[in-house]
Amino acid sequence: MRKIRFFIALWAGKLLLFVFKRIGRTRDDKPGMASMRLCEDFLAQVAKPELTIAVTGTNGKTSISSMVAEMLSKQGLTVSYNDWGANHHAGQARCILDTVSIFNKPVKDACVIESDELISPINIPRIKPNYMIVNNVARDSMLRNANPEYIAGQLRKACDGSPETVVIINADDPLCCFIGEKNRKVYFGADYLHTNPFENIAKDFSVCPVCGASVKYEYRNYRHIGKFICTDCGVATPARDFLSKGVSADSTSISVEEKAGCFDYPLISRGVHNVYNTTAIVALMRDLGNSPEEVAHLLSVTKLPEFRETRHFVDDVEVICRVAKGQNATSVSTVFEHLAKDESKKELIILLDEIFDNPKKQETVAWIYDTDYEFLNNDNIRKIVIGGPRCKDHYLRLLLAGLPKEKICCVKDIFETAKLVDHKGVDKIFILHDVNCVSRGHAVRDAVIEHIKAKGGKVNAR
Amino acid sequence: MRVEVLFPEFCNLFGDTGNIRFIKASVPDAEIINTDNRSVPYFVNGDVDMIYIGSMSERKQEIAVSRLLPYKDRLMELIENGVVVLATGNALELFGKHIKDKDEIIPMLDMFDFSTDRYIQEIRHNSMFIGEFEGMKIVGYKSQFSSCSGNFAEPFIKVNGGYGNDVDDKSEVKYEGLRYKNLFATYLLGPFLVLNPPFTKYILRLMGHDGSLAFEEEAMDAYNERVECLEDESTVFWMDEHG
Repeated sequence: MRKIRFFIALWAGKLLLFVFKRIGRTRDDKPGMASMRLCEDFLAQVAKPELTIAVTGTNGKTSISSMVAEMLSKQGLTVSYNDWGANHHAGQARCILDTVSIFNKPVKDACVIESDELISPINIPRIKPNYMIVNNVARDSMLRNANPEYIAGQLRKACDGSPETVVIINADDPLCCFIGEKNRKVYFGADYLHTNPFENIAKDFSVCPVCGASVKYEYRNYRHIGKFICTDCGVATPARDFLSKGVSADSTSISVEEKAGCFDYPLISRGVHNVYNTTAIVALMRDLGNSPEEVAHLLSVTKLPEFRETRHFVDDVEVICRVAKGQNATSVSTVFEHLAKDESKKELIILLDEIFDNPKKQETVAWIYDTDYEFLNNDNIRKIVIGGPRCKDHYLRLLLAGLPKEKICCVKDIFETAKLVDHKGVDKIFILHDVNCVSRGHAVRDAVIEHIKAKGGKVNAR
Repeated sequence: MRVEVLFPEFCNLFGDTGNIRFIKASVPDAEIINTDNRSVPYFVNGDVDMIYIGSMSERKQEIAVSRLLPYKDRLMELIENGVVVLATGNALELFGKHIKDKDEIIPMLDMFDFSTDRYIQEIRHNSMFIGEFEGMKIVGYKSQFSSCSGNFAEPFIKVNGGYGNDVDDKSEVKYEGLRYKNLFATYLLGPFLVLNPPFTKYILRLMGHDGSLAFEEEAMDAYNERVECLEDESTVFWMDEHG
């Protein structure tokens, strides 16, 4: 009976997938949803490709999984990947549906699954991936993720439920580096990167998980990520199997030390979190048996997903549209820190509310008091335009962060924000938008570009 | 004005630090004492005008209780003497008898006659809130894996919209939080004082301050808009993961 139910679920899913592909809805989860509804343990019963890789953790999942999928494809493997951000049950089922035939035989070489960390205790033991990358655990939306300790507990259960999975884990993250006691673990990390990290308001790791004493950092690279030790009980950063030793002067490559030596790899994007993302990928690809040269080559021809960041030049001003996850103090603070350290003169448009469609609807703004708006109190930032239904809350938060009123504009209609920035005399205009309003963020970016053009600005070919 | 913040290194989960930032901005000469979990609280041997404790993880509740238990009598003495105590989020639960987590009973400070049920493997409760306290509208959010019931000395806030202490309570009149003299404990979490400038003025006055606030106009503007939204008939108080 269990088998019959499974095959009905498989065939229903495959049929829907076929139809959806024919009508161009290739990124729709419904085939996966149908299979999961018809057979609860569909993910356990469906055959998996020879290589299945899950990527989870709070930040960096999409970047890492998309790069891994692209690199495997460039090696000539056929790869299925839930690249549309559908990292829940249905999206994962839809992704795996694409890797099997109607007889439940694998028809693809590999499957890369971006997996939401909250559901990982359910899905990872069912999928039993060959590898699971855990990039970090940090403060995220309280509504769904509660708190980092809770998420670390979920990941621990996921590892415990799939002990045969090799866990590639960030040794520099004290919130997650101790999970997976039963798994083979490959630790990655980074030496001190001289990033001079700012102090954050919200400290996700402040006391030793064993004895409650204060932890000492030998160094921090960003937020709670770094080399730590508890001087009371001795709990410390595990030895790293892959350790990034340094970033080149032009920030285009990193040296990664491992047992076989120290090798250089291209760094596809700046920012300390990208050093960790890249080191995680190097650890995976090397553990899969690829040579350092092959991994370096693959990295050199791989790109980050475009929706995370776009850049345009208009009248010699760089217009940068970038994701900063609303409700996620870690993500937004990291972006704010990057903006503060970027010495160019700039104006910002901030669109971080999740709910735009109903101005009457409320959403929590508690997270903005965990977010380091203080970093924006910086001479390089000439003006901040806040847009969205909760703009008054962001405005008050900026005032409490010490920003002068004359630097801040506040408007509910996000499309009005484009008219409030001035490109004269600045090097860059940033548009920061929530991950759930990518198209709106891009529309505001286009409105900014049009606004500059209307003032006589010319698009530069760069 | 001397304000002691208990265990800020982990009682800070949901933007709770905003409360103290707002007090400090409003009363620049206030002395803020941050007491970490390995230190003897300042209130044990010294005088304070206010004690604040914010939201923490479930595991940290046990650490917090173990640190406060030796000083429970002194804490009660200060409450009896009218010292302002504010607890936000699940810090409320510390003042009850115990937390029941499946078959486990985790003792709390046992200062008041209520207890907590924890349901961490079930759906997290997320909701918006509007209520009333001494003629003031109180707004905020809840996000929790637990719910409490029992005898709350004097309920803190009458619920106008949203959920009370027991989130399953279907009574017509519901209450949120615990109030005893100048102890105010509420599941409403995070920057409670920033979200509620009238209440902030109220407690500042309890401490002898004139009640003027930093960025009062802007804080009241955001507050009035939130009250208006939450009083709208179409408001749905239960929140999904996107608000």
